[in-house]
Amino acid sequence: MTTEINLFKHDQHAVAVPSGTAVFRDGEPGEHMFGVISGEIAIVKHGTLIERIGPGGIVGEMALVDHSPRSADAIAQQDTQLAVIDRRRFEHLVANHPTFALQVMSVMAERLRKTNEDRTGRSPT
Amino acid sequence: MSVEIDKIRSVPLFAGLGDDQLTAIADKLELRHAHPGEHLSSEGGTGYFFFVIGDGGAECTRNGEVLATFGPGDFFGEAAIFRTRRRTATVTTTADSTIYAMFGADFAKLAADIPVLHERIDAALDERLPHEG
Repeated sequence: MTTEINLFKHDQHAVAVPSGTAVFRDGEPGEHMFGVISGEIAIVKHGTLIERIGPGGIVGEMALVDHSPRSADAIAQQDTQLAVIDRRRFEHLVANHPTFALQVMSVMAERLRKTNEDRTGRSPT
Repeated sequence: MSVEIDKIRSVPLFAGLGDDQLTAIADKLELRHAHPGEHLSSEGGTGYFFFVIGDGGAECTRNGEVLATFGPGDFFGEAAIFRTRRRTATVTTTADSTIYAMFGADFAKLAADIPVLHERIDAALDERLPHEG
């Protein structure tokens, strides 16, 4: 199951990211998360592909939740349109749209579950 | 979401602009309030917004060194939008502040439509960005 967040389909704060461009790099400070409107973003850690994120997906949410630096590279795999959500808007969305907060939590849970599976070779209960 | 044009009429960056131009700018600005210690820009990170300080103040640092202090009417955030793609300095509020923020793509469009605005931004970038060589 992959959680899709369709809140950003017609977002006014959208940027075009050409194929091959880094949206962010491992270790950078992070002030935005991104909603994928079209195209695809690859999450890469130490040269290993972790995940591909397509339309309806989000990327970069962890830095907004815990103020940590980026934990991986995010690279556009094709010409991609992203909605840019800064911290102020993220906090507004979390406060005013409970379903958004639940969707973000769902995405983070899916990623944590996948990380645990990759580490242990089995699904956590 | 937008800001009244009287709030930005006294901003030096917008000095001398007509009401139509000020209205176009104000329409794209978002009013924000920030507490002391908030990072509005983080050196090395991605930057998609341009900021003008309405009230309050902020400190601009690079590699931990204070480069400038910003007060009402000062602006920042233009480098990542027009030249560097990444934030070239960290800007942290030093007081309760009113901030006007504009999405970078909107600001780039306005600067293309208002040549004097583009010239002022270019001049600021030439002054602020480290020179190579």
